[in-house]
Amino acid sequence: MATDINEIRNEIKSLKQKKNSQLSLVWLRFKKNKLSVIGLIIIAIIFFTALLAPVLTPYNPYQIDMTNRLSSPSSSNLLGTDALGRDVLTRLIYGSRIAMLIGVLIVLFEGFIGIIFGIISGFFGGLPDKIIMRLVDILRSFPVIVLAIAIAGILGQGLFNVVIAIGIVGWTTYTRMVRSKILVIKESEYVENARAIGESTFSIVLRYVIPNAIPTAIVMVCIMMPTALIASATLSYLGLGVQPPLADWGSIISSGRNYMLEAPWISTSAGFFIMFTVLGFNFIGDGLRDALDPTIKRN
Amino acid sequence: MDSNLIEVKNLKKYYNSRIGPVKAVDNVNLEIKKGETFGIVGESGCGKTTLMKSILQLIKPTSGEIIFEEIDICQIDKKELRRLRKIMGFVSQDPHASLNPRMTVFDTLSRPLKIHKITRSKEDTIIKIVTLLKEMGLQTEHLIRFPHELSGGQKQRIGIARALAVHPEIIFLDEPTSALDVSVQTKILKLLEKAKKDFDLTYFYISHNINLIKVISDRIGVMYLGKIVEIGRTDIIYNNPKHPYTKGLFKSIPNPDPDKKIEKIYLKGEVPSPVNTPTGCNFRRRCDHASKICEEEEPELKKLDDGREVACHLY
Amino acid sequence: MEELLRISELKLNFNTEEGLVEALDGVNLSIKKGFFNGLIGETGCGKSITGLSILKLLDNNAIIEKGEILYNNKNLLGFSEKRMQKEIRGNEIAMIFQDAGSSLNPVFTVQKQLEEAVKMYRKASKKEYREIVIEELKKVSLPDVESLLKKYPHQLSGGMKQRVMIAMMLACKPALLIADEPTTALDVSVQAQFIQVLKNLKERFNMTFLYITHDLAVVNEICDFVSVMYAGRIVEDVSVRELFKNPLHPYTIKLVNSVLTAETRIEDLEEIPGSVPRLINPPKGCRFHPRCDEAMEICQEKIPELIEVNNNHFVACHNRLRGDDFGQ
Repeated sequence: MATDINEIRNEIKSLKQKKNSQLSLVWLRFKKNKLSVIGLIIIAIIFFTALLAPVLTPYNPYQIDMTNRLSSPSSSNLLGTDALGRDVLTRLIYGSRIAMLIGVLIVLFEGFIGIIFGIISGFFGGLPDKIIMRLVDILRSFPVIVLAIAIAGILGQGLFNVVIAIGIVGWTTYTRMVRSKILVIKESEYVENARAIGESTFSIVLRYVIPNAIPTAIVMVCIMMPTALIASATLSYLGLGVQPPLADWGSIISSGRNYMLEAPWISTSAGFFIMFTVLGFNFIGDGLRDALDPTIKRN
Repeated sequence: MDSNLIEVKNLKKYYNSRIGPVKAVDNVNLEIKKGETFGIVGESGCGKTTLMKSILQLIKPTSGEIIFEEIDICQIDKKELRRLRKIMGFVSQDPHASLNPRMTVFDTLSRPLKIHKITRSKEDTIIKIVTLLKEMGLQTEHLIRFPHELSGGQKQRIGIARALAVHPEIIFLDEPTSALDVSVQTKILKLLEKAKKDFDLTYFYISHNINLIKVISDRIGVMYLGKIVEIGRTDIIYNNPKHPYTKGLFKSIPNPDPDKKIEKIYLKGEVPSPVNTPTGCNFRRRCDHASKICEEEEPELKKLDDGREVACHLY
Repeated sequence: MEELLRISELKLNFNTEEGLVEALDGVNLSIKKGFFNGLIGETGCGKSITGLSILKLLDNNAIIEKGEILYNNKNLLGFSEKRMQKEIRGNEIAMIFQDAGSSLNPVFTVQKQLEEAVKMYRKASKKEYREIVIEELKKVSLPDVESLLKKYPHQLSGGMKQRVMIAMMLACKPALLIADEPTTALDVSVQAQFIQVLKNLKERFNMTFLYITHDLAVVNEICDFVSVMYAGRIVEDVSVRELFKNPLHPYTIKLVNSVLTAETRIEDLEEIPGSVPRLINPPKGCRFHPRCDEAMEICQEKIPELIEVNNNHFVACHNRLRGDDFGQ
């Protein structure tokens, strides 16, 4: 049989060039969902303004100007100023830096723990599964925010303590989702076929279970991100988050609360920032869930 | 053709359920001879898939022995088991579900080669896989496809190619064509027949499609509620089925001949649940010939003059 | 023979993310009153879509380009959704599917489900309803009806669920019952029983059936007439006897040849080269021509029409229309 290795390699190469990569297919499908694209645009805007904060805004977020207290939105201060005369928009943009950082850290922290526990629990079952799932039950029986307040109270203020306080319960959601996904994968025929060709347990987890659980995990991250943002904003609203004068959306709402009648723009604009970010992530999550499933054929 | 490749002795697989033990496979004895196609036929829930997976050690049997090369493979360690996986191939029923949706055809086919160290270099692997694909009637372009980019027939070819890749001695086929159209089924059957000749294979084939089993098998076993009720050479059993269940089953087959149609219902009722099966003969409640002895005593497989074995008190 | 329903020149496309799927391309189908009309074909040939389009139960990405479905001299395609629901679905034309389990409501007993169906077309007292329900269940030869009434769908086997479904459909006395692969999920012994039930129904109530399946052996057991579908078109329209004795379309010939009988030998089986075409940009002319041994030049350009070549034997093939070859 004429099977020349170089010939085959060239053929494969040219085939690969012609074919859309998996990633581009995901993008093609994602793009079809208008809301998801809007979500992506919102998040991109917030992300880039956060990144380019010093370039975009002429003000210093910590610059106190008592002569310009609580001035209403104008051409010089688009969203007005706060009780210490600081530009609200500037503080919100700098605040999105903190929000993004905390959000990403929380998701990484809880995602890492949650997914690993989910895999162990789902794939191996038995005693580890029992222990992990009971721990999840216990943690989830606490009111989340009260537990986070208690932990933040004990650990004290600070960025990393916020991450721990929120992540300590947050991972349980990942564990549950990943576990149930893995239970399905474990019973699938392709895993049975993998065993029949002699794959080791390690290889099955690595090559069959994890790749099929990844889409679930990615979607989870997009859905959990807003929860993390809201939780961290809540903590700083209660004064348990990052320390002032660092600007954070939660603390901006909190500081604006006392001037709700004279200067409603402070709290409201911060509220809108949170709302749009949360919506943005939710839209992206919805779009990704459909786009990552190769089998869904939609109109 | 005569030496036994695998001997199954008193194989049992019971599951516990809330309402009692489910006897999925109940005391099955059979031999698979080298070079033959052994077919198991039975309706859904008769335990044929459980039997196959138990022999393959994908399910741990409750008790019994499976002798291969004079060793009971139910007792072997992991290393030995891996060697066994090279010798025994498996093709499952649903071609779509049997392939990892995140692996390309190339990855799927290269796994068995890597695990059993069949090829020594990447080049070797590529050549081997392309050759294999061509034998299956597929082209190089299919290498980079994912399962959802293939048709049902193509997926099943990949499933068969995966089993053939490591040169097994026996392949276990679990209704490999039941999810496919008849015209595709023809192609798969021809492919299997050719592969059998080319690689000196033995097949263990299960199906609910009686005509299919007739066409493909040298010897068959008829299963009912976890037990083999009749076993022997295909032509002998087909020309003259003895067990009342086998008779009824064969007569229920819809016939594609306009001169022959089913005139009468030969099998009353449906297969009962395998939980708390009746005492004595499993089949007696659906059987026209049931007598007192069928209630009291479980029939054992008895050898008849023509070489077949039947588990029925009538003989 | 009286015609109960006629589909003519039905062209239907699906708008999908990959492009326009030309699912049905000029389907002509005549359903003869008081007979079992078979519709056979392989996966994706459009047989189920044809069944669904009669009841207008299509997904909303379906676009009906042209054609009509005549029932009692009325074009069903012109009916509004509301009118279909009120006048046609259930009481004139009913449909059962392969998976009867998912068509039954899991939280209601058999009695309750059937009573609901009966209530749709007649008023009666509670006791009368019960009697009607028992009557309906007896029609489908279900044993031990009294105890069956109190059971939930999950307590029934596949064959029984399928019969309960039929009983439910019968409650509204439809003139036409469309059965889409009703026995595919059943075991052969149960399938044989189920086929008997359908046959008895036809005899007793002079019902008309459209029986959609991929299984030619089942077609032989139950159908009187058969339409063979390939890639969105009807290629042959014939009585069951002629289908097996004298198939004319090259596809039908190969299909009949692929059916396994106890006498088949693998060596004798004939393969159809290639595979079923995708219906996005399907082949021009006759859709079977790329796989056909007898393809001529005209087959690549002109769509063959379904023409009567023998008494009640229609075929859509250029080769069979030349007049010198009727396959005999």
